[in-house]
Amino acid sequence: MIDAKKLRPLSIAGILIGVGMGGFIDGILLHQIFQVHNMLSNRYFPDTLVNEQINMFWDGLFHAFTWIATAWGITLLWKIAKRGETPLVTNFFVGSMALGFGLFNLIEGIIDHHVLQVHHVVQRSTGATQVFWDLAFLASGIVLIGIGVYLRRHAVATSQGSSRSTDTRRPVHV
Amino acid sequence: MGTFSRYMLLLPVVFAPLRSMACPLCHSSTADEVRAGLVSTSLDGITMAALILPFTLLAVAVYAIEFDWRDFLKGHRTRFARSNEGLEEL
Repeated sequence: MIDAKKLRPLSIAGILIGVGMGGFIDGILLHQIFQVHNMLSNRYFPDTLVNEQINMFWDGLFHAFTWIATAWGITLLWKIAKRGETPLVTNFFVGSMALGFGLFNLIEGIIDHHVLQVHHVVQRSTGATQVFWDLAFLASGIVLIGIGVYLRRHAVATSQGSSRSTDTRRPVHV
Repeated sequence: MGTFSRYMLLLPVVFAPLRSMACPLCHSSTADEVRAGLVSTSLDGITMAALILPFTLLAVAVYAIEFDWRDFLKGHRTRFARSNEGLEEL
């Protein structure tokens, strides 16, 4: 079995990339392609040009934060690959990304949808439908966290004796 | 004049359109005034919290996941304490 402490750098990189990718899925899919909500759509409903611009500005700030999380994760991953000291366990990395994605959905959902109520998942819906989609978003976060935790534990448990999955890559200096 | 300085001279030309952008639909300069007021209109504690709080809590969550809780609860030195080894000898 791999020492879990050795996988810490891979874990942090995976979680950060998962947070960033989760944010981009929210921003690109829900804000822009489906246009079911924007960052401040519960305060400035995007039915005028000015409100649309306000929401676009705050969507941009939101994307900037998700970009920073992704860039940070990629930077850590690059350092891990160059040092060659951390086992590159694929399932553990995928599980860490799922964990980051789920954490993003859960925390962003609780704060922005329920506590501060700056937007709801499906803004144009009302009443019970709005609450249903907000809760479905939280549920997706819990499911993703569960998948992430399972994949990480499974990867650590099954990596015993598997030289291929636990192979520490030699750094290549070019 | 160095290459870097020549590129710096280009900056005002590149960013000039961003300072004054009329509405692309009606070409009204009112859009400038509206755009200038966008941030002051929407910037308050709630909107800033909506942006910063989730990412701050995510950072706390990542820290908590990767912290040496077992060693800490056993009273062992954490990796943070270990990183200070040797400092007292200086």
